[in-house]
Amino acid sequence: MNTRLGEGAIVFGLESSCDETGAGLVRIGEPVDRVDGIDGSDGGPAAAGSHRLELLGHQLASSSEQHARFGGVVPEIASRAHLEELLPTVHAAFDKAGIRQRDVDAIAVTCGPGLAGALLVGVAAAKAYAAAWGVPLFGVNHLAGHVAADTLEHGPLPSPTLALLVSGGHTQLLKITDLGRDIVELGSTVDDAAGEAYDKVARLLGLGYPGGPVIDRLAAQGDPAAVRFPRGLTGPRDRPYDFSFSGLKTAVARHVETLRAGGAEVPVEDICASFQEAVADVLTGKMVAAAMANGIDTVVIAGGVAANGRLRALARQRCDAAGLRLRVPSPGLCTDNGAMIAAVGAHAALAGAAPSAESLSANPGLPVGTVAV
Amino acid sequence: MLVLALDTATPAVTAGVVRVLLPNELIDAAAGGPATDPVSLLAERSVDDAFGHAEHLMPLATAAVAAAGTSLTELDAVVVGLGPGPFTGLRVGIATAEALGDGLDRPVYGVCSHDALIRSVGALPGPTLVVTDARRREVYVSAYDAAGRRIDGPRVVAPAALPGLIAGLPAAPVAVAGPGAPLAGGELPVLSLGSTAFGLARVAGPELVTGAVPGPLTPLYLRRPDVTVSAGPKSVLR
Ligand SMILES: [Zn+2]
Repeated sequence: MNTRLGEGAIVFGLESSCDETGAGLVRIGEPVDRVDGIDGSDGGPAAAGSHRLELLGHQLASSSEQHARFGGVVPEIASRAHLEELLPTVHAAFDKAGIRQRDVDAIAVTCGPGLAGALLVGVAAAKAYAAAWGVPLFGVNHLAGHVAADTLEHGPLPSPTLALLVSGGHTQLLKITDLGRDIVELGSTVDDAAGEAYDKVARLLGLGYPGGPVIDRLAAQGDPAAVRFPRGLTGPRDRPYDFSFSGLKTAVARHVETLRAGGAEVPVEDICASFQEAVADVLTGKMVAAAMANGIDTVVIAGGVAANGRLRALARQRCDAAGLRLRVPSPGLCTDNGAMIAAVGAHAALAGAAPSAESLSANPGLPVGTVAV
Repeated sequence: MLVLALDTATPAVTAGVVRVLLPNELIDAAAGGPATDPVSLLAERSVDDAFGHAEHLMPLATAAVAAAGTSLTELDAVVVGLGPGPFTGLRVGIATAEALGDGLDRPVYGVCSHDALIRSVGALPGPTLVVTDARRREVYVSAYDAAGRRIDGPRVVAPAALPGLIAGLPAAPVAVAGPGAPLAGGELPVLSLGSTAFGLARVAGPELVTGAVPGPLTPLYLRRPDVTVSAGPKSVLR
């Protein structure tokens, strides 16, 4: 089996780590030594062996609505939905890409982190496709996938790049020297993920699930300075790149309960705006500080929360002020999807990763430093 | 025709390659000799690992295909056990079978795993129960008549409910089969099982030889997902 992938090779990606079933197809493009900078300027060196990637097509199926009344993802419901959606999603991705199954040169699948039962549906299917097509399989890291989504739109990352990964399950600052094999965590949340804080605040305000989009919408009509909610772990003695959102959530709950106990009307828009401001302030503040301290001039925001309007706006403002280049994937590629998994598989293969063994399984706690298994 | 048969409904992760003779091949094979069994097992590989279905299944399938002296692309169909069985392992088998069938462009037939187990036994001494482990102190149970036809189940019950279930059957079982038989805790003799892959192909035989359009591969979960509707936020005051 020839496992060397190069220009023209097509990688199929499969994602099933949470409540989205994703399938995507990516073609490896030309090799790149230097990346694009701001306004056509030079953006610095790319990692060795970098190539452009072309998104051919992808398809998503979500079981999100089935989880709404439970206020969070129910693993068994998600796993059942993955099995039901598997083939229709795969077929739709191939149709959109205009590619036949026999054109595929390699497969990438999310093997962690994520929900064990959900991951195993994708891993089992990907191993079977790899055997049926006679192509190499790369078990890859979901978190690296979120960052890799950006390379589908904006080209290879300069080396090094700082990434802020924010989603329902993760909040991390990563130093990326080579997206295919060298990712180091600078800091992460010590309690709730940013997206989780959105869900919890939405729940206590009675706004339903998921919380991100609805809070973002209501916040646009509120005053972000109405309430000064706490910024977790921003004291001089706190670890500079770690996050904490549990205290913020409690502060919002306390504020709302106090208003209700006093019979006052709860100004939902103002609370959403003030909460969102606290989250965006901490995330972007630490992101910019980490980039400056590590001498990194390009930052990427990835993950589901990267679609948040206030986070994008504040990040833009602060990166401009600090002279940092900011890259954010378009909202359709911020959520979990198969194309990002195909992309990280391509980067890992180009960086020399060995294909996964046929005994590949899921690793729900896969550390972010492990790009390919 | 060559059939790959997979089952992950029990701790025994199983893959086997079975030859199923089509009616015309059967006539040729039987010409001048004794009647030939249309289903024959070429190779089977199995590992007991209740939490390792994903890890083991594809390597076992590859090994069984190699031991049968064939290759995946030579296969004509896939048969998979639909359970009942613990959810995560069950889905590994079904997802594997679906993707293999899709990737090879071959039909995939799903069959009840209990039916496959009973058909692996051979001649039954009379009405028989199949029992497999459902975890959480429950068992999956199906009842068969002496001819191996399923007359009740599959169901998921506590072992204590089995006597009541048996009392309601049209004919009392005289034996029990399946890896969960010891959990049934009764006095009935336990029948030894044959090849699961062979049993799977036996059950799917009529569909395989007629080239029937496969039905949906719906897992026999028999239980709803475990969920609790949240009772609303807890107070942070006090
Ligand atoms: Zn994600």
